[in-house]
Amino acid sequence: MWFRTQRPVVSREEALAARPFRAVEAALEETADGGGRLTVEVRTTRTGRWFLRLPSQMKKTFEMDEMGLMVWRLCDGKTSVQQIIRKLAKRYNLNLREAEVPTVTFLRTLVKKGLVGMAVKK
Amino acid sequence: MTENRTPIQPAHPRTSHPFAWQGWRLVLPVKWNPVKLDGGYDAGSVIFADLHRIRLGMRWKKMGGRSYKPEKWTQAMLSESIGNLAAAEARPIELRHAEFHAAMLYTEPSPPGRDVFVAYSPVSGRMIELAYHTRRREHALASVVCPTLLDQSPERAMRWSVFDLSCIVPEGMRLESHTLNAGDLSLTFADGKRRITVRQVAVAELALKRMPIEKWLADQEKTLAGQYAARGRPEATEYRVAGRILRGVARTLRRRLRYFWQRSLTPQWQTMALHDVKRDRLILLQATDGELAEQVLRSIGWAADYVPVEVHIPRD
Repeated sequence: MWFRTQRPVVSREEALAARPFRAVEAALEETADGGGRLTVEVRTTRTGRWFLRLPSQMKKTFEMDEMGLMVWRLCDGKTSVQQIIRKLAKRYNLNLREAEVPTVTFLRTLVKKGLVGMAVKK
Repeated sequence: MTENRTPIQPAHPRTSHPFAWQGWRLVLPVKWNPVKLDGGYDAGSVIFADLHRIRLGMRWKKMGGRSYKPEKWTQAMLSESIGNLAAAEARPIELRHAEFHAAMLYTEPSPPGRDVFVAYSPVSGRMIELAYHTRRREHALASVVCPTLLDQSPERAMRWSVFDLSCIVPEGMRLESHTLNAGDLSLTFADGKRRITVRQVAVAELALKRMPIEKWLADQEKTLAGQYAARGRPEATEYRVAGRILRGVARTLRRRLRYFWQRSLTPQWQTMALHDVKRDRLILLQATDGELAEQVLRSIGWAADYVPVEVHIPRD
């Protein structure tokens, strides 16, 4: 639609050079299997509180496995996507392509959930 | 803690890795990986890319007919790929390590462009075309890719290697289907009634934390659950393959009694779930006979034992 804001076009090079950073303050609790549990506070709107009877302080929990936790820890605003892929491939002895696909998908999920932001240099 | 985990390092720091698909074998820089695989043994294509861009294209086609004219076929394939004028500039190239007829190489005089290699392989009767996407004056095709190109005879056991999954299948077995998801690679081969599925899950340590190995075995068996039933409990098995220990469980599936009339169904399947400790991979094998399963199992991971060659792309 003509009134819809256009999404910025990011090239592959820019996407790989982007530095993911944590967009929320989350409490991290490590689990016995090497993974982690992220607890994030969710702010409810006044309307939500009124109509849906939501409590004013809500919490959302995200579970991650060992690899997910590693990626989350590397989302520090300094490490680029490309560096994360390489580190993951090196640590788990994975093929670069095998590391690239899940990392990018996972980061995309984190961005969609609002947990991670991407700093893209233009 | 995740941070303290020791990475599992390969024996040699790799700069190259073998790629074997539909009879073709190549040694490529470790950063180049297939991103698109199409077609079968008679005709098909593969596109290789690194993290940034497409690097190499590979296309093959079976040549038939009564006349044998490899020079004409080479010229036709070159013209189709780069046009008549550029095809006329292609020069013959001699490959000493393998038998190729009418091998021609076109080098782009003013990059960016494409360097193209075309040849006919009498081993399988197929034409092969390699197109390298060059940005600057490089000699990747002539000095890195072409010298490693091999065509495997279809009458012998065939090597396969894609991403991290590698195996050798007996002669006559053709690829029936493939599923190459990141971390879960699977190839299915068939030859008449004989059939085998080789599946590899990475990283095994994490996969086994999610689900015990018996469940992985049961999960694999589910693909045949309609017509076959598992009898008994899984048996613990151990194999030693090229200095590696594969430890896990195996079980036989038997055809359900109600399918006694369906002769096209093999009477039983052998399923194995094994943990390759050294490579940290979970291997799932499903074959119509135990002998075939064991034969292929002994070849799994041949590419991991391959001694890498130093790959350096020379520039002008």
